[in-house]
Amino acid sequence: MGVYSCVAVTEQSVLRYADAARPAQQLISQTLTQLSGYALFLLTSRRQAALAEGALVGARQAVTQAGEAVRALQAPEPAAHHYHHMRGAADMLLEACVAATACRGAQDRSDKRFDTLTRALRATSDHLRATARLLPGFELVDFGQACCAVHAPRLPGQGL
Amino acid sequence: MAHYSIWVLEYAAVEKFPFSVMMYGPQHQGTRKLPYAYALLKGGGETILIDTGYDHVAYGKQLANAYGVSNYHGPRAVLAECGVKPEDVTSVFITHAHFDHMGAMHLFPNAKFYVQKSELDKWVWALTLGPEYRFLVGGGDPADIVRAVEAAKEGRMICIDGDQENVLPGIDVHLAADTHTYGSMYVTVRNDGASGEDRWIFAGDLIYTYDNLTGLDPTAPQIVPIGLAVGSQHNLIFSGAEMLKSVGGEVRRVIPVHEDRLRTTFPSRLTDRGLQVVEIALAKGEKSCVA
Repeated sequence: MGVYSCVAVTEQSVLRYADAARPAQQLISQTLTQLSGYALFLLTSRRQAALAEGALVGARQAVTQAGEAVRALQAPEPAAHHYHHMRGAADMLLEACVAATACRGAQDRSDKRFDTLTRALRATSDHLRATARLLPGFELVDFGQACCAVHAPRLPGQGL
Repeated sequence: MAHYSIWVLEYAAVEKFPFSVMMYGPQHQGTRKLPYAYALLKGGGETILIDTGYDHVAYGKQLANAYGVSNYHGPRAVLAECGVKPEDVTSVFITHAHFDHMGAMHLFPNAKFYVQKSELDKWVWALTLGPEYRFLVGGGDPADIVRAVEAAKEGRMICIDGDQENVLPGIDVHLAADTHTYGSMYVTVRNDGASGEDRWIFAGDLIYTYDNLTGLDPTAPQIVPIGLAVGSQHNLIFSGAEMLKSVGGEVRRVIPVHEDRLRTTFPSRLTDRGLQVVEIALAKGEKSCVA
């Protein structure tokens, strides 16, 4: 009886963690895309990058917000690994943001500052992938409304 | 004589896909097989793909379990049916940024990628919207945008702004704005190298089936759009008409890679892995991959 109670408490604590962590993960994912888009502009169209300066300012605010949200999470033991990747994603997102700001002064794509930026973007993406793999409900791609997967049969108990 | 050899290569499939998503309207006409495929072109020293497929490692299990996608095989196994390795691919035209068309850029380390500028711009915008707007980003993967940055850093990401002729010899691209996606692109291969008659169009997901170009009533042909778009049905219908006009009304020359009937329209072969290889054209000196 005691064991079952323990399991129930643990599950509840993981659910509470997941509820709190999911919006933070979504914010990190959105901001990662924003920074990636800015990086794409820098690498392919300087004129567009200039127009996207506002997006970079918005990304800076989001990075701060995401970092605070992740630090505020209380991860129970079964979610420790997940939390490790949430922290990693938030930390690398901050690095990416700093690097994106620094890249404004880069002359061309061979500039080393772009190496730092792409490494930070990649690391953030990899941490996010890990969070999606470790707990259900953290999927990064919405296949439920994807053209080539939409309405396809779902197996019992395996809905997203 | 054809300049490019052309194959359509299946790499996975949904065996029972609702027909009403492939074509707007027929809500009660059951299911069809929906192959996942990309096109391979070889000629003039180039090895070209139209779309990349997706990478099973990232979310293959999720797709298989929850959405019935089966029989996935990676590009090394799929391209080997035509004697090609992923490293051989020199250019990839990305028709749109959905996971099953752009989700495997990293598996082609030597390729240059051609995509419409507006497709990437608006995907980036849409992916940063809140969860209440997730319909607009269904099938889009943030990791693919990161991969696009990595390719751009290596000088392998070319953003095209609208229509462009001869991106590669005899290959033109066309923007179909605000249709299936924001900046969907279709690809015309003028396979006689001129503006002549041997012309093939790779439609991406502007059509899923030949039925989109003919309708279901042979006595009253019409263009019927696919069942899913973030743009407008109006734009889908007119892009369909444009593609059809470009090939003189010869429907079979507008290639929908998700059309299972390609295998009966062109010479084809079922591989040991249960995947279709469809042969659209053979250049001089090229051996058939379906004989």
